[in-house]
Amino acid sequence: MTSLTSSPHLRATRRMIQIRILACAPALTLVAFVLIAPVGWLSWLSVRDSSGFTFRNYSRMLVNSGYASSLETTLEVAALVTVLSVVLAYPVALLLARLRGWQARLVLAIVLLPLWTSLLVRTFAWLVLLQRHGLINSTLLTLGIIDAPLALVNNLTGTVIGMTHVMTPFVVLPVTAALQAMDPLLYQAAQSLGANRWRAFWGVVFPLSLSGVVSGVTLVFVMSLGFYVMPSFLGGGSLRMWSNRIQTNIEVYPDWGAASALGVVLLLVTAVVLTLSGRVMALVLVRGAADARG
Amino acid sequence: MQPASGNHWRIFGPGKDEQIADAPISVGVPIEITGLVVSLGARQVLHGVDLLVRAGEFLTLLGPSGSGKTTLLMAIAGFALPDVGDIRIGSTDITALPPHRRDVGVVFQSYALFPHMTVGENIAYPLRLRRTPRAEVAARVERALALVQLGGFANRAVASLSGGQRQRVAVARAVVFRPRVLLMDEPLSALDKPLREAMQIELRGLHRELGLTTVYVTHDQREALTLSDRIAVIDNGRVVQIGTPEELYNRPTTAFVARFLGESTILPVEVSDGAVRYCGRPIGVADISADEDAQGLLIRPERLRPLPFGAQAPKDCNVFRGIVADTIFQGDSVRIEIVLQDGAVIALRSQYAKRAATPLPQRGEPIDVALAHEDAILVRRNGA
Repeated sequence: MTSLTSSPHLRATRRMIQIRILACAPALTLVAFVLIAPVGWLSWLSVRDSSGFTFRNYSRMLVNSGYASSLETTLEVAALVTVLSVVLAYPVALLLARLRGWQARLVLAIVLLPLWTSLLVRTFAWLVLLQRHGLINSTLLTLGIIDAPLALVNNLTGTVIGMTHVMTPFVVLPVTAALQAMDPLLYQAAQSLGANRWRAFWGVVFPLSLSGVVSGVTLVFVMSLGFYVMPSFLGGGSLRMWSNRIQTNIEVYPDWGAASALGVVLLLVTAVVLTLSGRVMALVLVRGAADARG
Repeated sequence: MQPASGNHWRIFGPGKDEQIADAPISVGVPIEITGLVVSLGARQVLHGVDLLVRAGEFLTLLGPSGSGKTTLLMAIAGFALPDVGDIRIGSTDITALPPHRRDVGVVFQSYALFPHMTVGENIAYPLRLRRTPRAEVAARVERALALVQLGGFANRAVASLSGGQRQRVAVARAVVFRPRVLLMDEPLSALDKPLREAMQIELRGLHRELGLTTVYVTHDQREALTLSDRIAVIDNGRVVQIGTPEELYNRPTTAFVARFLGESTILPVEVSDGAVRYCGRPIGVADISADEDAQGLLIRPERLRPLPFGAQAPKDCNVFRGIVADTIFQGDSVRIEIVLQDGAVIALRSQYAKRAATPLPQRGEPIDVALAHEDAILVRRNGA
């Protein structure tokens, strides 16, 4: 070893690292117990049966076309919810990023209020609003806008409406953060250089908020893939999302192996989504990364 | 800056400009501001500003923070809408035009370069908005970069530039589309002193080369003196005085302007019946016709001359007698603080000579100082 390795500075640095690892220990232990161990156990269950090692639980998904359509529905719902959340959340984030003081706190509270309310309460509230003789249908009928009640619930529509309500805040927050990090003079600079508000927005503000949009999209899409409560109640049994399949496998046919296999597949799909989003984020931030490279 | 004559046209595109490339192009147009009142929220920031910026001139708005100088600049750019008054650029009334239709180049304090674009894309942005043909964009971006001595930087990321380089890119972007006027809001305030001084010289050269009417905002008096054809001193939402740097320095009309530009001491005087008195003694001043409210005598430290104590007063000079309170060596000069008989303190600055004929006056010694009549300036004491 050279004299460098024993320099006081290096020893101090090593000590700092040791302390930091130690400080992370409780969190790492928690992750090991509530994440790594159960996921490992699930994966193990999915490839075992009474006779030993098997791929039956996976091959079943390929044979039964119901699973393919279920995966398709899940991806479709997640995509719809994601797109709607972004469309709804972006203007709110624009407003929120511009406000200061009590106005900003008020809007933020309104955005966050749904998150503080029980998911089940919100689900039933939507049921009340959307059902055949619910508030929306009866209002529209009374006003003579429609002749027959719209099928707003117990289908994909109801599920997407309810889930969008839940997910919108998860786009508002990262997009607001990205917009707030932007120098407001950039917008004025674009205008002084000849861009009207519209072009200044699309040429400067929107591209610089993309990192927030990608974060929000990833968050919402991944959470939507595994969403259970709303598809069960607002989908009314006709909508078979992946999470409902898992539930059926456990409750109807107590087949932990099959359910575990479904869980593993969902995990893999999520991993693929996260990887793709990481790639996109790297593209979005490519100029920012140049910052670090100097 | 390469102050080569005849290449002020470098940023202009090929085509019809090329044919007149050798003739100097006078691109400067005047800016005329009349009765401008601007409020930010409920607070009125500008209380009726009249200002004429001459064609091709470099005019600096100088004032303390909160004086409204930046608001005035933003009103010209279209980001602060006036309650009353109007702004004309050349023969066009732009008061009601949105910022993007004013054709005004702005260099912001933070430079406001687009971080998601390269240097070249930043400079090309105003050209692309104007649907300039692709080949011409590339040529003009290159020329604009050459103008600010950043040739070959087009593909660099903004984040990789130093502060001084960003400043140059901001200038290049603000002039590449041939704006009718150029506005700059404290563009050098983020730079350290040596770089700032170098950039001041560059901006002077750039202005000479382009001939653009330029309005420049700063609170730094040295910067204003270095750069400007004329300076408008702004205080409390009004133009207090406007003139060349020499006029403002040598003939300030108010104590505020005198204090803002250079060192000064202001003594209270009585003006009556065409005579000026300080502590009952008559004082000879440069211009007695100054207005009735003028009750301050401006003394610039470098205009005072020390005399041997009790010496004969030179011709056309006022002599003040006092005691040396302090003698401070400041490198290129010596600052001597003198307490006058009425307790007022005046400062004297004299060139420091290593082997002076007379020794420096020491603390506690009595001293006489002379101020030529022509250097004794009457100013109004209360602000504007």
